[in-house]
Amino acid sequence: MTAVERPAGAPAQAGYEHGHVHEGIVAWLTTTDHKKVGVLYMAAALIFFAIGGLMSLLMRAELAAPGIQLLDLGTYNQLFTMHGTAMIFFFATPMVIGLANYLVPLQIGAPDVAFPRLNAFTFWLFLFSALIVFGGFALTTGAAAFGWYGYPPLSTATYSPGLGGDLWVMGLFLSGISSILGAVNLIATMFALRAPGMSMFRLPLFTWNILATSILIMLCFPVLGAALAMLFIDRNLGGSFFTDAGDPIVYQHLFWFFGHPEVYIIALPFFGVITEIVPVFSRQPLFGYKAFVFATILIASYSFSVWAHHMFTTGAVNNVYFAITSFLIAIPTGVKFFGWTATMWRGSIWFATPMLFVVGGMAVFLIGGITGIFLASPPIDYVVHDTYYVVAHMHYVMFGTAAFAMFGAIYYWYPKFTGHMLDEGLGKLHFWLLFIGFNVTFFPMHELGLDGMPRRIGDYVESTGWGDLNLLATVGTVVIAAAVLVFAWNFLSSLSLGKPAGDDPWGGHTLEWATSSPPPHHNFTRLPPITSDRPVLDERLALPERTGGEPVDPKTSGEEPLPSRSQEDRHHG
Amino acid sequence: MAEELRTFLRAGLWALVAGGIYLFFVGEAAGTALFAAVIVAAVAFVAVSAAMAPRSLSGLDEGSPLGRLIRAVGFGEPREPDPLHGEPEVVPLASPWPIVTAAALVIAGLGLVFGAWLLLPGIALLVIGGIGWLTQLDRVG
Amino acid sequence: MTRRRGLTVGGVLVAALLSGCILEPVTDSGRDVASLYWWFMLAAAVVFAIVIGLMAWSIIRFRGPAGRDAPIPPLISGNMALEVVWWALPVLLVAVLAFFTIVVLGRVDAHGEDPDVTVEVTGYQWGWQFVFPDTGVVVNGTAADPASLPLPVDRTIAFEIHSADVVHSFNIPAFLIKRDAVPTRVNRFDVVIEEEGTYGGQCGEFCGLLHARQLFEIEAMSGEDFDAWLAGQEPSEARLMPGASAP
Repeated sequence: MTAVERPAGAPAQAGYEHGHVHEGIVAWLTTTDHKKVGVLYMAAALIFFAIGGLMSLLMRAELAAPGIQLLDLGTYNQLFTMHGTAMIFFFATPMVIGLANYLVPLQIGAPDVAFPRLNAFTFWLFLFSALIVFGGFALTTGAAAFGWYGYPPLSTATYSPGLGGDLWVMGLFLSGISSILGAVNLIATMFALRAPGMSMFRLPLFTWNILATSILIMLCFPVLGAALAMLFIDRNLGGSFFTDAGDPIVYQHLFWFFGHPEVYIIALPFFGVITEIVPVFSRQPLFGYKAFVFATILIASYSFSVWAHHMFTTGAVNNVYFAITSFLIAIPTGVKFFGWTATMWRGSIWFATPMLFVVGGMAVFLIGGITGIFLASPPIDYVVHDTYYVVAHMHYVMFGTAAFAMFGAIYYWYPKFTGHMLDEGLGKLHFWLLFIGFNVTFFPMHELGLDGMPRRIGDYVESTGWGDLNLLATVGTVVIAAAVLVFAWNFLSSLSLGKPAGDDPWGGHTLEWATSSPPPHHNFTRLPPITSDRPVLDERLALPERTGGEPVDPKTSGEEPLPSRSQEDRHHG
Repeated sequence: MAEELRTFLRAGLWALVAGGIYLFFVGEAAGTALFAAVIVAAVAFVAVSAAMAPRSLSGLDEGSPLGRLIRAVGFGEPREPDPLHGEPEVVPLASPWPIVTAAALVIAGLGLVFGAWLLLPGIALLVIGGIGWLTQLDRVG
Repeated sequence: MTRRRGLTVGGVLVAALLSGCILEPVTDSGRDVASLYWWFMLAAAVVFAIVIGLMAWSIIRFRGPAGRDAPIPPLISGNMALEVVWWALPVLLVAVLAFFTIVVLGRVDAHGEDPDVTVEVTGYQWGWQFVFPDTGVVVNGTAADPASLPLPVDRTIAFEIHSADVVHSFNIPAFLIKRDAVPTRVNRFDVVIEEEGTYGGQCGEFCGLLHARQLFEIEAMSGEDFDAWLAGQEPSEARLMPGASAP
């Protein structure tokens, strides 16, 4: 087995390497390089994360005490609508696509994504559609104020007149197109551009999770598009899909047929991040690779059969069916937890910042997963549906994945993206502030929910006694904001001041660590042989001086390597 | 059998199982229609790609029909462990057309909200962007 | 420093957890829900303890040195028997929880053939209207002046829930139940209130500008008091949803 050489300018690309390449801002506006597009996606997503976070600070300030402090109810309604919209559609989803854009070609040993220009197109379409959704704030009638899920009849022109709602519908429709095209591009990349030797069962788990996610996007975003198109017709062209002549419940079916897989579109890639980081920092291979792949596929499959657990209280769905399918999701998710723990077991754990974040994320997600089982039980859901209990549950799930694991991913891959390390001390400060602030903010919300405080209210009566815990939650939000400021400082200052990273600062397992930081155009000048899901570790272990002792043969480490084939076989096998 | 076909076959088969249970126990129209749509999409994808690349079905011609189905959708190591050996679409490192086309699409979308004065320029720009995109490779190549 | 702060915060959180765990049922179906909730809490505590315990133990016990060039311990990449065990454990757990869920769900969703009292509830932007169809008595509420609805204890009460405009949710936290008010449909749930008292209610599904002000309350009183109150009321024809569910 020999290393496969891929010269920097492969023949097919040679003609373009000589073309005039712009520098500066024009280079960013016109780039088709998957790495630059990925950076654009992540940068935009982080900016929307900051905007969504600022909105939540305003909302928490309003809720800190009963009565109207800061915002009127109409503004509050706009804020929570746009907070949800921003965090789901313009932070978490593009963050996933940005990470995937940067990492998937590297992890599979490909020079770029399958359709580089389509890739750039999806980014700009996402950015512009986000801007038009936020453009609602510039209107005198304000932005959309009917919740991030936009249930009719409230979201129809009768009850929500004003262009803010139309901009919301149109913006989400267009960003949905962007997501679908992005998923098509990633799927084509993963199927068609894997390096020789990179069979499906040697794909890194992050890439597997992105594959499952992309398929979810392809199957569920068209349903959202259909629902939004019908809503647009209802609003502007006198349609009646979801009003008197139609049925508002049908919209809820369509929305959640999209909306529940969307939760996993956000969660699965960050499960993938955890599954990448835990083995590297435990200095162990992943425990039960195939179980992880199978659990990922099961979670993705189940996510299509649980949508109406968001509709238990409508009285319009079969609660037994959706309770059982929702419970089933706990099984593969539990398996992942056991697999992560078993990977750490008998390892040699290096508690660097990325590991700290993913372990914290696992603990946070565990609580969100457990409260998810409560919510899957319709009698309990009747109590806490649309209360702060659900707000707490959802933020434990989302923070565990799209915040803690996301920050873990940034600390882990930032050296690869920029060539510089983030500061470890600031990283640990960031983690502890975030972890404490998060729990202080959201844990009390479980009790508020059990006590009956509904979500999406800008005010409450003093006699309810909800004031103290709300104040506590508001204090926690300020701590979260401080944590994010520490992160922002660390992120920006390390761009120039961070220690040089080298190719592989963590002792990584997967192919992105086999190239320079940041990687050159078309990614690789040389690929190591790929005989398992951790080619870079295999190659490191084959060099005795690195391990300071006996080289460990991957063949004896518990997993059968696949029979290798000659180059000839690969083409005509 | 090509991995992408197996993946979509699995998605369709899952929708068939889950949708069948749903139809039988729940019998509600909206959900059943959604499951049916997933099945149709998966079958259409498999049919079109198999028609375009018959080689992608290789390895399916032996054994009983059940054995072939299991090999097609099962989770065993694929018979061909290696990928398709594609290359990315060959493009310059910089192209102005993606951002132009995206802007055009968004302007056209805003035109549906605000009126024809935006819709028409949006569509015109979309045509320009599309032509630029499709002919770019001819000129550079 | 961090540890002490962590402990303080932890203490506050544990206190919050314990006081928040208490669901106090005042209805017949509420008792079933509260005991189901306790079973779930028990399962959750066990799962949480096991998973966090295993994670904490492996982190503490198998802590290694920092740095990328530290020695690598022998590699372990799987164990079939263990994996079978941890696929089976969650299957067992959710099977048990699903069984109890379905039993309780049947009781909570049960409708009597002949309820003692029927109340037609109509949610609108932004208030609640309650109609006793048998007598034609109407209780109105608005956002500025929320309705107060007298109801008898120890009788089966059927709520038939309508919406006059957008989706609302008829939600009484103390009864441990809510049900959406959806235009084009009628929803129903039955309860027997077991304790006298005043129970606040509030729209549970976001419904527009004054959603936060769409309140009402239920005054649960003895059967005699309720009968006396009802007899003293005049029938009214001012219905939001005329004849939506005439018997």
